[in-house]
Amino acid sequence: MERVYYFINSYPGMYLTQAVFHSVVAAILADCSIIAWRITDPVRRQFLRISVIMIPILSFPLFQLINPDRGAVLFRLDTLMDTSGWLLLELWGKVPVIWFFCFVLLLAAFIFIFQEFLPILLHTIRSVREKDETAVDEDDGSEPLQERYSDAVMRVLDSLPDPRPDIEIIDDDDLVVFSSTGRVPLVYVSTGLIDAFDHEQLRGAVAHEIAHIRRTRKPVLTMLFIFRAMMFFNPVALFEFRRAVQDEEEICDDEAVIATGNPLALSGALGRMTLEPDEHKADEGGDAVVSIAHHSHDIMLGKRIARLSRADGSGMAARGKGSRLYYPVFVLTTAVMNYYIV
Amino acid sequence: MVPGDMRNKARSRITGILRYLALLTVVLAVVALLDLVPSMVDSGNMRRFKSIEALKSASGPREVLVPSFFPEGIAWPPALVLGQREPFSASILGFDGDFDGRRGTHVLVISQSSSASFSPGSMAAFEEIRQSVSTSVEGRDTLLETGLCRGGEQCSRLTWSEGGQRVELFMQATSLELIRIAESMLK
Repeated sequence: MERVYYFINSYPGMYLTQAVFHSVVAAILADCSIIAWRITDPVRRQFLRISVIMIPILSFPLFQLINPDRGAVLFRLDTLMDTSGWLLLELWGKVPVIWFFCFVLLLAAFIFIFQEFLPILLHTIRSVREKDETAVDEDDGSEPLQERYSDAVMRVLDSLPDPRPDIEIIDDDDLVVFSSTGRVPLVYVSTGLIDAFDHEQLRGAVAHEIAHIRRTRKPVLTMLFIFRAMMFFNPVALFEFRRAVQDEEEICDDEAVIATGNPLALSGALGRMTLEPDEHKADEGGDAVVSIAHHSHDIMLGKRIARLSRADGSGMAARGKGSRLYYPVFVLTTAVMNYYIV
Repeated sequence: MVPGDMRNKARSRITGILRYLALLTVVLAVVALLDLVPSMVDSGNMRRFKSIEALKSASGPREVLVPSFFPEGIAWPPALVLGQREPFSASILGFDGDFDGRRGTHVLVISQSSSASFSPGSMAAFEEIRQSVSTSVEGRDTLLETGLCRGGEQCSRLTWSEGGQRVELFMQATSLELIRIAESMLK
């Protein structure tokens, strides 16, 4: 434990431990801000989540610059919280709390590498290597796929404002719509979805994907990914990143509503994409992880549907409303509080 | 903007701040309570003691070395008494004083630890070490260092091993007084 003590008190050790504890405080204060200021605008909520991920990257180096003695014995005694007191605690006299702490950090790093980093890396490599693929699939010798569905797709595109990316049609009976945001942005739509949705619902779904493409061009999301990667070991960054992604979906819903003027159509489209009961039944006795994923997928869709279906039209009513004082107050209180958490 | 709108905006800001401060107070209280837990379960971590006697009681069989000689101007009792048992034993005594015409906190710092790498940190740190010599004090091999502290004050440090403990004396003064203090600890 002596080696652990000196590691916790070294600069790398202090950076690791304080990054996590500072982000816990930042996350709690961000939620306090959302509650206190009644923030319903997903753009503002996302901004807070990005700040929670960013703050621990900078807080320790900045605090040490202000006061190099911040890690010293005397300073620690007068702080709001000395994290080494907890980390060096031995549960039942045998099991150091720091083992659990290290396990959580390793788990967060593992999830980042295998669930986020590697898939993105592989996708990027694949999209750089692959030439433009057509999803045209000759159908049983009758009309080519594109010809059969191009009218529906063109009517949708024509009714939406610029920029209008190309749309690839996938031969799939499932309701599938997604976008790729590489050098040549594309929206992929399945034949099953085109058949199932009416014109307005299809417009809403495509407008949502176009919003994703447009927003990916902005530096905010790029910075979010960079901050997330820098905090790859931080479990709080993991949760806040996922919440920021959920906010991103709501932001794109709002932008789709601006483009289409029809929130109920998008709400209807999302309702169609909620998993069918027999798809949930397939989870029973099967993979618990998949079952949880399906359940949380439906919860997220349910929240977005409820938001779009509100009498005021959509969450757009909240956009930009309310005092902006929440942010400097949040940053100031987080900074002061974290300075005294060593 | 209509005056009514301005009033509403101001009211919204004030209520937002008040709600946030209320939540912040709860968070601060919880964090402060959590910080108390390790000391409540007597984790043995570094903490303040009211006196050297209290430190000696908590230290168990480990002897806490205290000088019997102090230069004029060093205040007794020590202004700072710190000690820990885990993950290794360590103690720090900090004495304030008027020394060589300068009033200061922790002008003399005595630390003792079972870990060879333990250091009191910035309260006993050189800005620049100018001389480092090995010398013998009461039959112990010691290392005597002199140099400058923060603010350009002349400082000295004497370190040696005693019964498995690393003992360090640090003073904002010349080495002569420091050696006399060490001799009084070892007699």
